[in-house]
Amino acid sequence: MHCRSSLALGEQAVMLSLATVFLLLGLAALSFAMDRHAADAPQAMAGMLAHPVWRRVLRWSGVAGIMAALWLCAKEQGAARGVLMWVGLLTPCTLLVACAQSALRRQVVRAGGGYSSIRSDQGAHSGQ
Amino acid sequence: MKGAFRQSMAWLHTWLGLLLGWVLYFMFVTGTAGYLDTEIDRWMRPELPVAQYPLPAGGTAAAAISHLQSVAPDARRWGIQLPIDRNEPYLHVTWQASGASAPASAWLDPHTGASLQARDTGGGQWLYQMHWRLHYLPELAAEWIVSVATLVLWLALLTGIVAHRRILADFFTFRPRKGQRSWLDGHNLASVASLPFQLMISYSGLVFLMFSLVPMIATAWYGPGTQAVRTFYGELFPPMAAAKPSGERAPLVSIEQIIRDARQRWQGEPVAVIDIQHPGDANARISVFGNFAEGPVRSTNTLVYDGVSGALLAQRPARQSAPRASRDLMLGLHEGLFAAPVLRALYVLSGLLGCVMIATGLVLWTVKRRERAVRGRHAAQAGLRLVERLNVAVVMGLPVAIAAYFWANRLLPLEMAQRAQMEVHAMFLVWLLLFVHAAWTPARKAWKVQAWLAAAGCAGLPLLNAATTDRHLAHSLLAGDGVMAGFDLGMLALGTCIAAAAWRWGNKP
Repeated sequence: MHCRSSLALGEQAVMLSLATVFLLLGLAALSFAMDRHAADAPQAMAGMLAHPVWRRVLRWSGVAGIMAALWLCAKEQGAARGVLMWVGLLTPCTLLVACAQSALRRQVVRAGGGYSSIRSDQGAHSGQ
Repeated sequence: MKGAFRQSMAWLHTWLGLLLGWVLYFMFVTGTAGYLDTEIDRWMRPELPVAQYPLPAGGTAAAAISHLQSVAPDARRWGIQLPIDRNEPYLHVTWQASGASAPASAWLDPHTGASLQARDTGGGQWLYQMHWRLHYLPELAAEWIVSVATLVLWLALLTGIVAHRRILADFFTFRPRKGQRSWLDGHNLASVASLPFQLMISYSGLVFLMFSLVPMIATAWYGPGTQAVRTFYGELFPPMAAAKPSGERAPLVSIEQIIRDARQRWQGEPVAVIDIQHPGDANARISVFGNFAEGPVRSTNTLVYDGVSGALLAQRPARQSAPRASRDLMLGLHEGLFAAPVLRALYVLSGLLGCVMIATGLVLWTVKRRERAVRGRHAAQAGLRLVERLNVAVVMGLPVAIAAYFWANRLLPLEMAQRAQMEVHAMFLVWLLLFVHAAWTPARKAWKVQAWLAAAGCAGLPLLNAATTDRHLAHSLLAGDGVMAGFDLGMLALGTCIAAAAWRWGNKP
């Protein structure tokens, strides 16, 4: 492995940060497209998530975001290392989205979310 | 039918996990530490200066040769590892004297070739080697335990995936403070979030052990017996231009010339390792290896030169066959030697999640049965009480023991005999005491006490470092010494996290 210039390192940092952001957004979109987490969505999104068409759009946007992250990683690091980096980044991003959904759920319950708490405790009929 | 299959896979998953969980936890903790082995090495040898790499090969190798010529002119074999990346950050030489059993080694100043003095310690390497050698066990016994554990891990992962009914719907699900459900959610989340890594690490672990696990495949082609085994390995790893010593003296060719030739043939790719057989003999052989941690496939180009004339005698390219490259890819992915800092951090995270996966699984087993005992208003069975206490001693005890290893590194007298071994004995002695503590203490209390010990053990390391050496945190930060500062800060962060958890448990009724 050879020393890279600070410019190259800066560029790498930008690309990887961008890939991480795409992954986070993509995984978040996928999570809200699920029944369980859609029930806890903020008010602004709740209306949209009621329509199955928008759910599907959200799901495919999520997939697009995740693929965009893969493309960015492969572009920056080459195919082999890029795939490995992407697989590695999926882990912290999945954890962050899961923790965020958990926090959101607790907030909803604390705010006395009646209907949504009943719906999500029914578990998944997610149609995945 | 599907329900019965899933249930039986869940049953298998539970029992496999319980029986080998503690061994696998030890393997995961030491394996994760292995991704930071040379960083730990450097913290445990504060006498060594900050590593500089990569360095020009010619001058560094020449300095190494002149040192070897002064300390071991009649050695059977010299080895030189050049500092090109974090895997071998210092100029490292080894020599094996004729007739001697163990090779000797030294770190050298890359410019002068002078030997660098450092305390006698196993460092991060010994901690990492416990990942497959365990400790205090005969080599064969450890190999079999590790082989069975790896097989069990693979099966546990597959049965876990089958048994996880709503793997997609529950992908982002974590419901805290709900007892057994939370432990199951945590176990599932830790496993699924790092699932590609877990599948890769267990399968590649099996590939590492494949010659032991499935020896009959070679037997089917080469026949039984030790001669057949020798033939098999001889074909798999054939010697290159090997020669016995002639007995006549002849000067070694200039190493700079050899390196120049090698780099020219490899279009500028770096030389990482030089191995010299019978230096000073007319039949000397110089083997030159490239960097096998260049990429995920763990293989490299090899050149063998005549040690007197400098003529190229044999060469072997990095890629020899698809099956071999597949194996080398598995080994490379497992070891992660090629990983740059960001990917290495992700490897460490995934390794830690593997530890969490096993720990939550072990605790879940006890929580489930404890809740069942409470609901059924009957006393907990002896097996449950045993597992509850073993869980504390292993899951929380091992981090305390490893912290004790680092404390021993700073506290044991430098001139102590067998110092390196004593550091390891300190680690296992502390662990034994924690087992005794867990045996005599109710599980709830034992968790809290051992957690506080772990927190103090980890967070106290930067203070200990400052008190016992001059490579303390302020110095490391000012000097830009990322490794020393990283270790101190990392341990401080880890200790703080464990303290936060211990505080939460302390406040629970």
